Amino acid sequence: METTYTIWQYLFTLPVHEIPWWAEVFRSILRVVIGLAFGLGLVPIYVWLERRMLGWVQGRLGPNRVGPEGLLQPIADVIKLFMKEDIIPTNVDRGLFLIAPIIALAPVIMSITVIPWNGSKSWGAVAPGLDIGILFLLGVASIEVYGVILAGWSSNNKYSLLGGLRASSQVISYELGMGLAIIAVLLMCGTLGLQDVVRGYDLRQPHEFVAGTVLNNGQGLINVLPLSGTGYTFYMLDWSSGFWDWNVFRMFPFGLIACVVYMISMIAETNRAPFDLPEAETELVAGFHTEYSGFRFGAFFMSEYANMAIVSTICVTLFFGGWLAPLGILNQVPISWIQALTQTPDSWVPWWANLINSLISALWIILKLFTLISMFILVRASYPRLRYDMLMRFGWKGLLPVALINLVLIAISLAVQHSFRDSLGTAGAWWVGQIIAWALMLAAMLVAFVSVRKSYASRQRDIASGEIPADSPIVRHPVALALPALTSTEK
Amino acid sequence: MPESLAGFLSIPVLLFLIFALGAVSTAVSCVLTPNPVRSALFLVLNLFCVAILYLLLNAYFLAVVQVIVYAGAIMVLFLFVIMLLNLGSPERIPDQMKWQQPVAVGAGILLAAMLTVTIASSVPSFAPATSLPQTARRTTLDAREPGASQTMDNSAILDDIARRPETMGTPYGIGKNLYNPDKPWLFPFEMVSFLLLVAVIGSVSLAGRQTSEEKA
Amino acid sequence: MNDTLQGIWAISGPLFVAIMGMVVLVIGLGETSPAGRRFLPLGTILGLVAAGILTLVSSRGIPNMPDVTPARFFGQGMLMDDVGGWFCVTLCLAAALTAGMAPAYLEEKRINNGEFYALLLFATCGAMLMALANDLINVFVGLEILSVSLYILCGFSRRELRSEEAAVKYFLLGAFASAFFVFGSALIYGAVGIANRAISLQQENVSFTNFDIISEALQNSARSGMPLMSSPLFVTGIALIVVGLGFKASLVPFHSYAPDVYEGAPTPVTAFMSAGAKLGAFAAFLRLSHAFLASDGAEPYRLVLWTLAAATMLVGNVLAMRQTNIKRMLACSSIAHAGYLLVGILASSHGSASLYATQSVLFYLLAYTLMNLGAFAVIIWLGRNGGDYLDIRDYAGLAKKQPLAALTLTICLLSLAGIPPTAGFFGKLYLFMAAIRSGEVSIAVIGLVISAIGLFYYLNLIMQMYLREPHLEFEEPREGGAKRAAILAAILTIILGVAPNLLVSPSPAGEMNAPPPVPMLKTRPGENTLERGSLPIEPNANR
Repeated sequence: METTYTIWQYLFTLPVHEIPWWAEVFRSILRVVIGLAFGLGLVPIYVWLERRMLGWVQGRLGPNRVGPEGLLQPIADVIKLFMKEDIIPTNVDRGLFLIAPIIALAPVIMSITVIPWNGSKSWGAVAPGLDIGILFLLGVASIEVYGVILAGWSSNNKYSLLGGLRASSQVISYELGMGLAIIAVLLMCGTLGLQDVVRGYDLRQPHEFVAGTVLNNGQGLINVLPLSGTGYTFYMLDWSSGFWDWNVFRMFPFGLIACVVYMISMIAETNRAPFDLPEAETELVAGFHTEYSGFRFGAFFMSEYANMAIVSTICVTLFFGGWLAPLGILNQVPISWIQALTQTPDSWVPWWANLINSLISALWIILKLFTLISMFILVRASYPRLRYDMLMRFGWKGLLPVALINLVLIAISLAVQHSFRDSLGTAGAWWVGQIIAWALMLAAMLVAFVSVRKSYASRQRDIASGEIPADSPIVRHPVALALPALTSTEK
Repeated sequence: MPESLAGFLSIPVLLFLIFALGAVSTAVSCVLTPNPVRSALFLVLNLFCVAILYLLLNAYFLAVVQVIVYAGAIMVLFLFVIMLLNLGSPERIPDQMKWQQPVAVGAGILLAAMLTVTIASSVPSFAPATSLPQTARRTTLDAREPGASQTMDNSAILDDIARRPETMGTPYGIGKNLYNPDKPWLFPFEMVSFLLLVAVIGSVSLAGRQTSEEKA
Repeated sequence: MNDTLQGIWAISGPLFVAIMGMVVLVIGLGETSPAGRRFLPLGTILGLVAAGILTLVSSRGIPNMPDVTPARFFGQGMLMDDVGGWFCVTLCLAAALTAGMAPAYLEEKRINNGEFYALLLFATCGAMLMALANDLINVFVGLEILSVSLYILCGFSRRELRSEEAAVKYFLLGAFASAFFVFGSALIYGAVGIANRAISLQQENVSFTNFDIISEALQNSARSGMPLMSSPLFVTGIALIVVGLGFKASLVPFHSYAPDVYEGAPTPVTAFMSAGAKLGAFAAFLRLSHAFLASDGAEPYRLVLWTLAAATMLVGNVLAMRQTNIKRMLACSSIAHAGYLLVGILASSHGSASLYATQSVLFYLLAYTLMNLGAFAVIIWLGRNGGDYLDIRDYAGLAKKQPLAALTLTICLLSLAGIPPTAGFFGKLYLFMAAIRSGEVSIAVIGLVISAIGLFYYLNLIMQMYLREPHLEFEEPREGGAKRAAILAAILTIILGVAPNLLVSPSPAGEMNAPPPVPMLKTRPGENTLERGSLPIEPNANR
């Protein structure tokens, strides 16, 4: 049976497997354009937001002259950067010096490809439905540091080199905690595809793929609604779902712990305050980009802000329900309402319905993104920079064990759930697994508490016996007293 | 014959040729570059090329893991150490056994030639690809008929996915094959973790600080 | 799940050794008192004895399946038979003797840490896994566990430059050898996979590097007119694997590291390395040879083995004659012994004498372990105050100063030389008999001639001990565990030499359950019981 489609349907609405290659190419290009606009086009707004917000925190105005409320200030800055002379110092490693900013920016753009902005398999991301989405993100995140390292090394400047070295060791240290937090989500969701992560869709559980039915995935209700004749296969969360179904609240509190670990690591990963050691101006002039000027500096600047946005979006995707609204009712305009309104048959949906729903999804993700960006800025405004050894110690001895234990507890809980699912049902098995994991968590906390008490007592003894001088900053510092592992100085 | 040539030069083959060439040339450059940082960077490029070759074989998981582990973690550490030690190009050490160099080059070329001839002469054996099971293009769960009310058990779908050659390299395929106790790969996989433990113990005991007992 | 548990029971020996290694490691980390230190070698030896007993019990019969021997486990990747059991027990013996001779030496060098014994146990576990592996992947994992442990052990004496040099040399060359092995396995996987597809054996759950599958593919592909042995991919793969294993067994021309590494490594490590690495490598060689048994076209493989065996025996003995350092001499002699063993491996690839040759290799490996470790134990025994007597001239007149040590060393050397009534004599006898039975007369003759040359340097050392005047005092020898280990090894060497039939009597109708000439796949109840070997062969590849 030959069906003739209009070119409009080929380009926009048909499912992926029913369109010719040229339509797919067109769609890919369009998706890339949307992705770039989403990833890089918002950068000036982050810059503006940061400067205004810092001004607000510090009781000053911030840029407010160029354009309304100073909104055009970043544009003016970009123009200034492009007009500037592109200085290449004499003794640099020329090839690497030139290519380093590009290497810094490229992975950021690459990670845009997998971030979903709605649930569609043909329009949901630049590369929707990639079933190794999380791994792709981890891979790209792991090569981001090359730009910084190369910039530091090729500049032939000791401050730059120190900045590059700090960046590489810092990124490696924090990538571990970050990776483990991400793997925790992966375990909870049972999938590597980012769209599935957002939907909280668990491949390990039996599903019935019947159109129009309501499924229970153990966390929330999913309304499967494959719509014929469109490129959309909506997995619409039921109205009864909401923020309590997000991964951050999954298997409470393990999702939350993973989320906190991720958020700390993501600040370190982007070299932002209070972890901005690679470019600490009080110590290293400007760190790895000391020797850069003009648009090459601009590329580093841009990659920092874009990277901030990317890690925030990843955080939103992994933990805060991606494009989903905090209440199910705000997710989308129900298709049935539109059908009733336009009096179309059940199997047909007007194209603008999908467009509206996509825009609602995009709106939610951008709203969440800006919330996290504001958090970045407030953290920068509030916290002083860490000392370098403290930073490393915090990563290796603080975040990593917590993330690791969290991961093991999730695995234990899931294993218990899996073995009890047949006898107790999904909900019963969930409780059994969680109670066992909670008990283990409490035991781990008890062990930690006892060891902290012990080390606190030993520190007190050291102070009493004079081994630690009374004027040492440790004496006045509660954390230093309790957690020598995190704060001790080598004798 | 132009027809067979056109059949041969399909896009995957072209991509393979490009990245295989890239892999070989970066590997050669890695060995020949005297500057350690550049040498390490060539190795990174080489790892990327190999990762793309894995992609062409449908081994997505392996490709990404290659990038994460080797390009992203191990090579960053390499670079870190090279920069920390601030290594320049090495001095030429006077060669005590000059005759070894030409002999080594000759033997190396001989070995490479032998391997090339061997593998090239085995290529025709790959030809009967028709005996491979024809697999449907739609492998994702969403791609089934819209509106068709069929009940599918997830584990059945996943078992099916794990068996297909084109999806064996995906995380599902790897997981299903690697963690199956009936298959021969679970045991070596578990023993490799033991191997890593041995390596960790070794590196700590070789590189760790000397104990007070040792210093005495 | 039941299969998995049975598999764990079957290879409980190596697993127990691994667990024991971790226990010793943890105790060694926490324990600093001398009493606790003394527990480390004791615990190691007890663990090894227990593992040996476990192996013996588990190789004699698997619960619930008493009649299936040898059974395959873990997706047919591991197997437990008497050959593997023998290797495991020999390895436990080697490791236990090493642990017995080590403490005094380590104490003096101030490296008596728990890590030493843990790594020794890990290395043993790796070699045992190699011996029980039925798949090149598992052989490789075992090989790497063994090798990595040995690299570290070689450099264990961190303050000595020689030890570090030995570790670096061994590590760099060993890493290359491992790469050869992996590459060879990959080629074999491809070749066997292609062959299996060509003969329409679409099997599930198999790995194409499985020895059973390789053997089956060799047989069936020969019948289908596209013999695997003529596939260049396969031949190259085998060649690369022989390189990888040959390095571990220190065959010529992959031997050049051996004298330096053996000399530089701490003496107990040298002792273990000379036995443990060889045991693992020859176990893999033996499995590989058995895979070739059933097929006709194994001539290229045999030609390579023949050449390697002849070269190894010759070069090893000639090199040993020129050495003045006793550790280097024993290193070169161990190269030569690898050559003798390879004669047995060569013979075992002939169906006519496979069982006999396998048994003779097993016997020789046990004898070699005892006599070589005994010789090294005497070296440790005589040393003192951090120094060892390593120059051969140091041993002049030893018989007058330390008659017991001289006697023990003499027994070990006579056995290494192959003079009755010692184990070495019967070992060589069986090996060359096996070669003659299998039709490899030329290599047997060459071996006999060369081992006569080898007499020279062993007898030279014995002459030094008994006929020269002493110029050293040999005061305060270390004695202790090394003395006990040396004497035990010497006594066992004599016992095996007097009554070789006590443990094993290689005869055509041997009682041992060596693998049958044609390895058969174990078919599980309920599975397709169609015999794999009798599948109808379709010449047409496209089915």
